Amino acid sequence: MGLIFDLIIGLSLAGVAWRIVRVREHFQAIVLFITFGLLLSLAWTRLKSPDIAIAEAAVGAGLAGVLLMDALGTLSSTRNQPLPGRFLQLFIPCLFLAGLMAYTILFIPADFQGLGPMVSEALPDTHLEYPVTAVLLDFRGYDTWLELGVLLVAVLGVLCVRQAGTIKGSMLPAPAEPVGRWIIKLLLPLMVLIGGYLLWLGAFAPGGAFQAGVVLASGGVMLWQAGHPSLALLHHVWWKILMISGFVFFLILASSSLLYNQQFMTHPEAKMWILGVEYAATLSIAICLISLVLASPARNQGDQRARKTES
Amino acid sequence: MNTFFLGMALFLVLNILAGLWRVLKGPKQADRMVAAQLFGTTGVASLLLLAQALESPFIRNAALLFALLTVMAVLAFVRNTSYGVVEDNNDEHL
Amino acid sequence: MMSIYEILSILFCLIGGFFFLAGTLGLIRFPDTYCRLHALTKADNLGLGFIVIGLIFVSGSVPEVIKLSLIWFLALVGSSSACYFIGNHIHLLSKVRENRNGPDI
Repeated sequence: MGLIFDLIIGLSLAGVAWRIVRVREHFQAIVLFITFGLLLSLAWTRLKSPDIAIAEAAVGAGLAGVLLMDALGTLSSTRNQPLPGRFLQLFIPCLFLAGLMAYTILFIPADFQGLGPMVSEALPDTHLEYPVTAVLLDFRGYDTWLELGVLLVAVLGVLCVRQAGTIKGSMLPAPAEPVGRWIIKLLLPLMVLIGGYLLWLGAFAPGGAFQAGVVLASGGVMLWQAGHPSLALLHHVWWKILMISGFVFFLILASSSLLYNQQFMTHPEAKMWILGVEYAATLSIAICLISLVLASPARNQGDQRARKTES
Repeated sequence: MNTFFLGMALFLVLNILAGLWRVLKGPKQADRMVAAQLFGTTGVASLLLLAQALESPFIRNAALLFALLTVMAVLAFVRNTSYGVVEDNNDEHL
Repeated sequence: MMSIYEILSILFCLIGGFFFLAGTLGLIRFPDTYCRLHALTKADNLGLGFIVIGLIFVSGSVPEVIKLSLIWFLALVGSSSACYFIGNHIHLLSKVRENRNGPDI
């Protein structure tokens, strides 16, 4: 039964991905992409990686759909068919790469245990109870730090393209219909609660900064969709400070360790350090993701149209 | 018992795949959005069944997030089109 | 030998699966968007409810039961309001179209 399940999930993932690439209508591609996220989440579940399944659920169900829908506003509804010759040009390198990857599998020794034993051996040094958090924020701290940097650069890139100095602008007008107000009143507290729950869970179970940040960002985006003024109340200096807080906090702690420890990014109070970084990272991931959605081009166009109809 | 839950989850995944036909077929954008809504609910159910089948309770958090966040895409869809941003280019689908 | 709870759980999950099947059939077979919306949001949430009840029978603790119920509650809130949003959207679009093609404008 397990094998049949895995086969069907795998085949449908490949099929949906093929269709996303080939379909000419953008809206259909977006809906298929949301479906793809769902199937991917099921696949990660079967691979016994609840962390990634949770992250995929948060990104795939919430923010990815919103970002793509917003981007749709500035695109034409269909795209051109790729040239027939392009297909073979891409297909052969892809096949070559896939073959190369399959070839490397032959070099994995038969009795290879993975990195699990190494991690569980070093886990007591971090005083954390959950290996994934220890890997992300301690053993591979560099990677997580630079990922925060990548997110920051993405927001800066969007601002450059928009030629805007700040993220803040006019909000969308509040929804006229009562259901919109009602659902935001009901879901927003739950989003904050569940975001906090995931962050708290990260110390000892699947969860953590990224998942919590995405849920909090969804709450912020929902406020924006409702046209609620509370996001605009935050002064833009604070907005910027919060945006860089995760990256900067990581940097300060990593370099301050040089003062007493001779070595970069090592810390005697490992657990406090890691949890502090995780909390700061959650905030800045949330703020960065909200900024990405707020600075999306569709809002600009929507505003212009709204202004046009007003005048 | 666990095999039964896995089988039920498989049945729901097959439901999703059948629903994909409506996404491909359309004809309106709203039809595709409705299908995405079906996938949200079915996905929550199959994640819950998988959590039981694989005896890994933290998968329920993924189901929780799906239940919480699927409405966001619909909100974005409605907000975007209510400005006339999308409806202008899509008269042929009406 | 199966306990009574396991038998009840299987029964409720099967009923839930039936409603999901009904929802999917509705999505594929019904003639227009309003009908499909109606079929989905009712049948699917009922199906999810039955599956949640089925899982509650085999769940181990009270917090687990509360969490499962919360998930169902959130799915109900989410999909009923999504149903309203989509329905309202189609309605508004059709009004826009009527105004555009109307004879007296």
